[in-house]
Amino acid sequence: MIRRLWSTLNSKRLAALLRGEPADERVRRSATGCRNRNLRVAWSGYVADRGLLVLTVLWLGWRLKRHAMIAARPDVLYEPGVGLARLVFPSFPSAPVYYGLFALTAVALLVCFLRPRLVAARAVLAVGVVLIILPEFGYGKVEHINHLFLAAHVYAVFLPVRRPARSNSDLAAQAEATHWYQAGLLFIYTMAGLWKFFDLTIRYAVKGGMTWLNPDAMVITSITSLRGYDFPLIIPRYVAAIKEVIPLGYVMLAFLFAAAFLAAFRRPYLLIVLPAIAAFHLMNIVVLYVLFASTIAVALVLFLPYDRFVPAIQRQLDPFRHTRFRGRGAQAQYRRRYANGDEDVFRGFYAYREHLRDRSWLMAAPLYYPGLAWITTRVLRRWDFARAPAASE
Amino acid sequence: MEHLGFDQPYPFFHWHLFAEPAGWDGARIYRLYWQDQAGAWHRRSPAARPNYTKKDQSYLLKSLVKATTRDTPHTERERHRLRTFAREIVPRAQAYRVVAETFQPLMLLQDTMRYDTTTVVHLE
Repeated sequence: MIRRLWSTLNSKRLAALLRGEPADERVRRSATGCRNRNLRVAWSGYVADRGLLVLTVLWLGWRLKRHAMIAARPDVLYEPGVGLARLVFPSFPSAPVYYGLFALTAVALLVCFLRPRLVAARAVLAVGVVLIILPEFGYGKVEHINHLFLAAHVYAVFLPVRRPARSNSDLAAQAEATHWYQAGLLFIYTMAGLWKFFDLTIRYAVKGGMTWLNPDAMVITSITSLRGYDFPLIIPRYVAAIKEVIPLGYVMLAFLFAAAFLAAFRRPYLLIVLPAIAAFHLMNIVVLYVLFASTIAVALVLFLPYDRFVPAIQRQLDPFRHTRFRGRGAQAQYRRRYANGDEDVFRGFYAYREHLRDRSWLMAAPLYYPGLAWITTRVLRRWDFARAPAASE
Repeated sequence: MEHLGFDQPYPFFHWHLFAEPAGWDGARIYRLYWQDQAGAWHRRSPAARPNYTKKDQSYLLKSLVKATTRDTPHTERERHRLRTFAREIVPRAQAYRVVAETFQPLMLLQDTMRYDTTTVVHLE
């Protein structure tokens, strides 16, 4: 069993599982097809990383402003809230220490702009941003709003970022690293999604109490949250007006988030996950006054599929000369021929999905949900089987 | 590990935030009340102060009240911290009280004054 698990982890089967494409004759990508795919991923990862660095400039500016506020408070109020803060800043950091750290981080950021692949600079930057936020956690809260940003910097230490070129020998490795980098970040949402199923089960079976499937749940949470700031209860009234759809939205979101990390490998699925993440955080801002604005900005910068709309990236790709779709059901076949003569071939469900993907990522996006290919392939086979006798009559 | 704050297997642990609807079995919010020179008590509605946003005040008040009401040898120190914070927020008051406002959220939607109050901490 362990041997089998290990061989799965090491094999093409894992890649097939993550990408949602079988490693058999149903999907045959040519060298050009693979290079195009790797170029798209590597470029998107590269642009996202540049975007993250630009956001970091703004973030550092915001931290300067925040730190001026925090430093003006009486020292006695400071009490480190997380283990790392207790180790590094057991008492409030003095100005030379803090601003020295700040300057070091800013220098590392500048170096990362010029030499994105310098691991030492990335590591200093990652450690720097984590330490810079720590004093913020000394006043009764451990903020979760910056976690996606901090995680992105920590994971980026292991990301071989460089400007992709068509001839790069390590293009495939760079694309693969980008996949795992994004998957690691999106895994936070997968855990959130899975937790919702787990938690609901526990609540129904053991704990009791109200769950998010109760239409009043969001109204109540919104009132509790906004009342803490004495806001007028206008928003909860709006929420109450549409409360019946909220449990449905909750279940949908749990399903979408549970598969979130797969969007790193099945990129059209990003077009569902990304708006879902943005909408979810926007809802938290409006309904619960949890100010997730920076999380939305970080998520957009990191996960936007830049290869879909940046012409400079599209010019790097090998164009295809023509495509052909033939057959129906399990016998369907989609061929994509490139200008250099290479050809990608997809069969059955994958022919339909790839055909749709070449026309619209958004339309194809739901077809990347895990399990759908498995079910549809069986339905198509049944369909073929049912049609076959009728055709012979 | 827990006392070090490393009790979570994954460092970015807020993935199980809002696991249950907040306030479904009754909500509880801490509020700072202050006494003016004439002896009258006032309820302080959160408003931004120079060094504290609304959110900062809300989190800090909650954590300080919890630390003060916990039965530990450091209660006096925690009361001192709470008093320092109260002075930061309302500088020229004779005395302060932290009041827990409890309410059923849906009732509050009918009438915003339907809540109970209990004084949790009294500071001279």
